[in-house]
Amino acid sequence: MERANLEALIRGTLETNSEVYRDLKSRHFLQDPDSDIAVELLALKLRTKLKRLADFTALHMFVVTLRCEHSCPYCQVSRQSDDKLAFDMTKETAEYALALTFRSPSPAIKIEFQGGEPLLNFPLIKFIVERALEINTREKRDLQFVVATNLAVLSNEILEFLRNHEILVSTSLDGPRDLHNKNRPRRGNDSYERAISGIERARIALGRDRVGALMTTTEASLERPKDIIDEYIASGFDGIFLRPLSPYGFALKTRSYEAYDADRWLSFYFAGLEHILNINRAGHRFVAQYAATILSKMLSPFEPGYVDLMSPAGIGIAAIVYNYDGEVFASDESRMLAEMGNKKFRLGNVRVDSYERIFTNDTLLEALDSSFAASSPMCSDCAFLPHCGSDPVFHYATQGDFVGHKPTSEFCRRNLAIFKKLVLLLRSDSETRRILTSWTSQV
Amino acid sequence: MKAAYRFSDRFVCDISKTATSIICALNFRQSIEADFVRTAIDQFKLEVLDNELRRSVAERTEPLRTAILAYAFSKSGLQSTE
Amino acid sequence: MMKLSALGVKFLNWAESAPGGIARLSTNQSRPDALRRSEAFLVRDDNVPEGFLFYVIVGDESALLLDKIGRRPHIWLPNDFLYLRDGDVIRTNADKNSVRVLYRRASNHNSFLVTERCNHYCLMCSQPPRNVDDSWIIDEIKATIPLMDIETREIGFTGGEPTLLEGRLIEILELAKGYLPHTAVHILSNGRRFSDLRFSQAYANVKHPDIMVGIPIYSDISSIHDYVVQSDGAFDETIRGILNLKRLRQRVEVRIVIHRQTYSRLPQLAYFLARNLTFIDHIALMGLEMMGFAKANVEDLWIDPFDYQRELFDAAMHLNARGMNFSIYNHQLCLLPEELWPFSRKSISDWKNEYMPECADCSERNACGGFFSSARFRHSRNIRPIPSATISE
Repeated sequence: MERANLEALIRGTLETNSEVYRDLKSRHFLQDPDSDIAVELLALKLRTKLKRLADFTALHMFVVTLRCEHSCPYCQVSRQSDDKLAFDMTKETAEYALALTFRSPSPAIKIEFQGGEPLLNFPLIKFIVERALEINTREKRDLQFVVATNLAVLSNEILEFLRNHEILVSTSLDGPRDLHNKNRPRRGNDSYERAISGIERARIALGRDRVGALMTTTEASLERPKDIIDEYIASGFDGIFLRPLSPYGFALKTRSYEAYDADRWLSFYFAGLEHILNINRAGHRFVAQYAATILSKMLSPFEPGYVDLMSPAGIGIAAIVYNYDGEVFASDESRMLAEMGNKKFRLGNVRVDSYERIFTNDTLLEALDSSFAASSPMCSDCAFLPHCGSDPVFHYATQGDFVGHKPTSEFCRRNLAIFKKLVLLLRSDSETRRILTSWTSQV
Repeated sequence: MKAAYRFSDRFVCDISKTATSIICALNFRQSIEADFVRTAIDQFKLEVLDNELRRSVAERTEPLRTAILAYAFSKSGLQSTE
Repeated sequence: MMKLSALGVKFLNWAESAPGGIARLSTNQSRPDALRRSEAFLVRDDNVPEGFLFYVIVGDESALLLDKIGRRPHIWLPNDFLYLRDGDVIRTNADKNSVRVLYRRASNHNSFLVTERCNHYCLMCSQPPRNVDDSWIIDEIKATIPLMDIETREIGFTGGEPTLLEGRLIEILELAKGYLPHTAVHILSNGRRFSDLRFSQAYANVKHPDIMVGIPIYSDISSIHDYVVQSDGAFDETIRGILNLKRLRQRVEVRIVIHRQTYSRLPQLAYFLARNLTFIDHIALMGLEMMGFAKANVEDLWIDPFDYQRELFDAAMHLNARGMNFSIYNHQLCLLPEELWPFSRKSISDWKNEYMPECADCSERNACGGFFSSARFRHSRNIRPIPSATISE
């Protein structure tokens, strides 16, 4: 909007018959005596945005084992071990965790199996799925299962089970073969081959829309956004989530997260985004998922429910982690932080702590309250507040407290740059705007 | 005071009040360079500002925050009933 | 020989105790007695079975037929009525020498005008309102519904403003649900009455299995919408009505007539709907019909659809990108960008559609619905045949 119009608007002198005035009225920036329906519609949009909150914890992550046959350098948690006793979740622990899961009022519950490599403790996955379904005959929730697996140990028996229970698969694909295998070493150096083969088999058995993949961004990835994206396209995925660099390996070594890393990642991200847009312009629909999540928040009244971009933060109240040993964490990042030696966001243990004790944990409540974006300096005045979130675990890990210092926060710098870029793209030409808008219809 | 605490690894802060202002005397422990002192003072000022802002914004937005967090926990069964 | 009336309709042997009012037509010579007693037989050839309430003959009077019918009450209808079929329902009025067709079984678009009264005065109204007591219409509809074929796919209730009938409209819906449980119902309304939650609840309580209200919104700006419908406060009340209907999980369609007053902010209206009324079941983007007030106001309303292609394209593509369900009606394919053809529906009834001379060589003639006959009054100067090479498949 032109500066002159903005000033006229604020002074109350904007010409009421102008298109600018009409646009502002239509988009509920202003109201005049002609009509008072705007307040009701704004209230409706706000209620829509906040609707998920009262559903409470919908995502329950079960870390069924820490054992893994990969040794990815960026992984904080896995153990190279065959010691099942030491590192596997027991049935008893799982039973307690399930009881807590169903205490959530959410009408839809997603149980996600994590690890290590969860398929290494497949018997427990079986147990949890069957037990959860049994409990659900009484609870009648919309119950969904996901397994986050590298697919390297995918037997036919496991595949059959996944198929019969309509379990979703989320695997790791870091990019083309050389990049992927470099990032994700295992004995035999065949992580990529196993992943691709696993994806193929899983697609046939489960259906294409039940198999997804995530990439982890490393130093080596930063030079190759196009290659990574092309790998996803060649592998038949309809979108990609270009993830930020994870700070959790470095958190305790430096007090503040290096700003230059944010800029390098942004170059990587924007190069990737442009490549994706060109692919769409050429007629092939391919979604940049982080952008799509943000665009949904910008262009629709819906809340996509992406845990890391919510205010109040999604820790505990949207997602929760039950570790192999029964320890309860407010998020997956909270668990990683604990692996680095900082158990700040440990909420209790399933065997000894009640639902009430865990979810009214002081740290959790304080983190939620103090990191509330609308109550944080700089965030409270930010134009992008409705599109952003708070990430108390990230800020605690990188800057020492739940709120952080937004001017030097990598979270803020990263998101601000992406918001601004998306706005510019939406205004650039109608084809680009249409492509970006079309990414919001399914989120 | 919050700011002073955070910087207690770099200096000790004596806080006193006059009629019109608050005086913070920063006592640096070792003999250190002027640069370090200048930087520390700047950072301290920023920290004080940060805390002041947090307090004021939190106060102003308390009703909104309370309403939304109350709504988040409304069906969790964790709120006490009167 | 009785003299033909000006309408060409003749009532013969119509005694005082003769049948009047509403009757269903049958061409079935073996029609069960219990049914034929209250039905009219539509004579096709020289078979005139006994026992029907009265008889209907269309077209030439032949001496042979007159003979066969004898003293039985019957009606001669001119060739205009040749479309009548088995299962149709007619209303007869011997005093006025008139026959009206209330229902045509073979039609895909049976629509009942429930009142001519209206609380709006839309600039382009194709059915200009009359403030009369036409409560007899509801009685007529109530008598017609039980005679309609249970296989009827869809019926419409229009006006004027149907919700002005309040409880009586609800009664008709109950009747439709009861007698025609498989028939979809489509009501055209300005939606304002639904802003009264109790009325919306009464409507929702009918629990009709397949019903939708089509409600016009002409602009994202309240003053423009209110101007088009010539009523202050219409925009707000209409939206409140829609919100109530949605609270009660009722299906709602938003209808937009595109003309000179509404075309320029069509994209903004699309943004508004996709942002605020995301739950709308269907959006109808409609071309102007040259009837009623539209003819009187033609200079304020007419714009060649060819000239608003850009606005229509922007609006439609935005709705599509946001996943909103929509259709384009009353636009000829040669006036639409090709990307919009998949959304264009053939909405003009088969016997109402016409084509222009320019359409003779058009390869898309069948897919395109053609024109309403009213288009002869004014239509685009850009009608041109689409050569088959244009089709990119």
